[in-house]
Amino acid sequence: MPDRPCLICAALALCLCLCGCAQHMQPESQAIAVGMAVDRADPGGLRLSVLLPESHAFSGQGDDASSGYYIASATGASFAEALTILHATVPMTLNLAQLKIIIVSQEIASDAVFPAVVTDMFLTHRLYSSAFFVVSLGSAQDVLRSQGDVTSLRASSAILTGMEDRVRRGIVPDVRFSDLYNDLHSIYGSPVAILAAAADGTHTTLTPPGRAGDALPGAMPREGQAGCEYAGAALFRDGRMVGVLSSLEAAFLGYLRGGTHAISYAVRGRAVDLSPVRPVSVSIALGEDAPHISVEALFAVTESFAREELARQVEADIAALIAKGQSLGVEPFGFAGRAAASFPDVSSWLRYEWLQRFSEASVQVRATIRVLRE
Amino acid sequence: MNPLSQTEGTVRAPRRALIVLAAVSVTARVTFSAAVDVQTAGNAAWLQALLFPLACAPGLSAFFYLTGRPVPRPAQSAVCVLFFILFVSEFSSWLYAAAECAAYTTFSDLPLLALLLPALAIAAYISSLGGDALGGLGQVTLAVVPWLFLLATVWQIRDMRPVYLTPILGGGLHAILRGAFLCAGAGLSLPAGLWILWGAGKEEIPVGERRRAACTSPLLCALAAAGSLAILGMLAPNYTGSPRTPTRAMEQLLMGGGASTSVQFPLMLLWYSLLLLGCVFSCSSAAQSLNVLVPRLSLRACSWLSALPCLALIPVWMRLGNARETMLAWRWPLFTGGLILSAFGVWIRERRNARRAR
Repeated sequence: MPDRPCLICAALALCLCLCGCAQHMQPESQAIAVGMAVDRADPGGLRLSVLLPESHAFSGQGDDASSGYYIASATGASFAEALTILHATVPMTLNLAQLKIIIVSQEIASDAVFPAVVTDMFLTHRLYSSAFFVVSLGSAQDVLRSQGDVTSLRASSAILTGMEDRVRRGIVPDVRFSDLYNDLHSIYGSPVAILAAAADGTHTTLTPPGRAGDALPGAMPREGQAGCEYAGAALFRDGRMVGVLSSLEAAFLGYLRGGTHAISYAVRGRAVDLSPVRPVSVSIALGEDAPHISVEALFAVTESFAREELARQVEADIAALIAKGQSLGVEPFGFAGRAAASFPDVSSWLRYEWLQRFSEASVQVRATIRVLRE
Repeated sequence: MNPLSQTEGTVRAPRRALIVLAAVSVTARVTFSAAVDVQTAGNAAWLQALLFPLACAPGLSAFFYLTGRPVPRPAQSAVCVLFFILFVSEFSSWLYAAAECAAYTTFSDLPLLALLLPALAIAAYISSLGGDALGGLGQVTLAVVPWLFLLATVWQIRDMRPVYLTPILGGGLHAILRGAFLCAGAGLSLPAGLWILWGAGKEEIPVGERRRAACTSPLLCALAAAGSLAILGMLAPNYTGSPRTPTRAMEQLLMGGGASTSVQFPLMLLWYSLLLLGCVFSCSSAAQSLNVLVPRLSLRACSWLSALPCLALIPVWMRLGNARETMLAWRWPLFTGGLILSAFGVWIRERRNARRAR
């Protein structure tokens, strides 16, 4: 057939043009960043750090004591400037398409520069937008450095495995970079981020823990090889970090957002697992001045021990969590999405000024505990 | 029965297959128009897609009338000139979108020309093969694309939030209606392209196929596009601030709102194949228009003469950015005007013939 050569040439041209067959695209020529950290630099500007694998560590030629990873960093007046310097100074081609974690220090997250940093990240070409987004209490670079201290797994696998387990247990919210970016600009509630800290404790403001779930990262009562702790959530308002949640509060936050993971709890010193029977039921009555929010929680436990006291305690914890959000002027609980359904269009919803009304809302919480029959 | 057979008794099959090609292409066009080019309705873009057949009604009515009778040569030529220009600009727009999609895959390390040429060559080559290849392409795409979309949807189902579709009217009724007309500009390429591919009025088309093309297909396209846009709308919330550039909106489609790497592969396959299909349909329509105007030119020559000028229009699309919406607003009046002009020409000829017969 006379057209067959044309077809073959076209197919080859398509394959060659789309496969990126060039020296700088080979895996050996790529510096594939596993994690990224953003800190405040002295005297000013931002310090951008990336966690890169050492190629010799995987070829067996390096020092046995090496973790196999190293940190490369650059300082600039903005994220984009620091990234440009990093591109120029990292050997090989810096590749951000495989990022597993992005860590921003609390100092940056609380600063007015934070929205610009997030926007610059979003506009960075092929920066992996599904990386977990973390705010560190203290140096973000210290948290990033601890990611490389793993014994048997690659850092990328260890980060994913650990994070997914924490999300499943409700210890931290499931927040990716794209979620944070979208929520910073969305018309609904307030964004949250995962909270972490380097484990030596000197970078944190310690909260005297009552229950284990009340401890913040960096002050958790534990020993071990891990160099950082993940627990709780960071809260944002108007593009800045304004507060933190403990791991127990983050677990209830996940429940209020529709999660169905079990929550490790305690009553009278005894541990119980609260298993949601169904997603939380929320009804919102939009009043002229302030809305009224009713929350009905239904949990199951495996044994009948102080059920009434447990229910009252859960009600108090959920009510306190919502009150904390109201006092900080944030609404990360997912109530805004339910309330927005009552409005015809975005303009009328924005005119309602939900965050303002939410902070004045009356909240009623009712929790019921059932016993699972074996 | 082999739908691609050339034997007698299967003359209708290629026309039906072309309806499938046009319908799939238009569904993709309307989806892209609502998701990338027109963003003012927010996550109510699915309503734009549901309403676009209403906005297409004048053009579809003219198409139904036209395809039932031969079109006089002057009207045929005038409309073919108009449609040639429109489809060449459509082709360049789709070509650029396909190149941007490919650029996302190739880390933008390749020059734009290297990404444009394969899509251009494929579109020109397939359109040069004529009706059988086009019909087969439409049917293959219809067989594969829904499964890719289903795969990507199931993969991301945990990230979907129905609340993101509220408030129900999104950017407002005015934005939805305006967007419906802009999407109708994309949707009118179905009757316009089919009229050309069916011979540009050289023969009468059976009423069943005319009804299928003018009524059933637009409704099915609207439902498919609305469903797709509703699913896409559940992946990212309505947001405040300026609309995203078409490049960023395209990346949003490819990322699926921040999807993991594993789901980006079927998404890239899905969108790139749909964009290529749009290129093929536009190129074929432009080539057939040129073939009607200059019958001495072979279909292959017409295909390449339609494809190559698109490269000159690419810098225009690159510079337009969010101003694309203004330029795309001309599609509806031009496509509708072309179809109505041709119908008017036929009506005048029939009145004249009727007067002479008396």
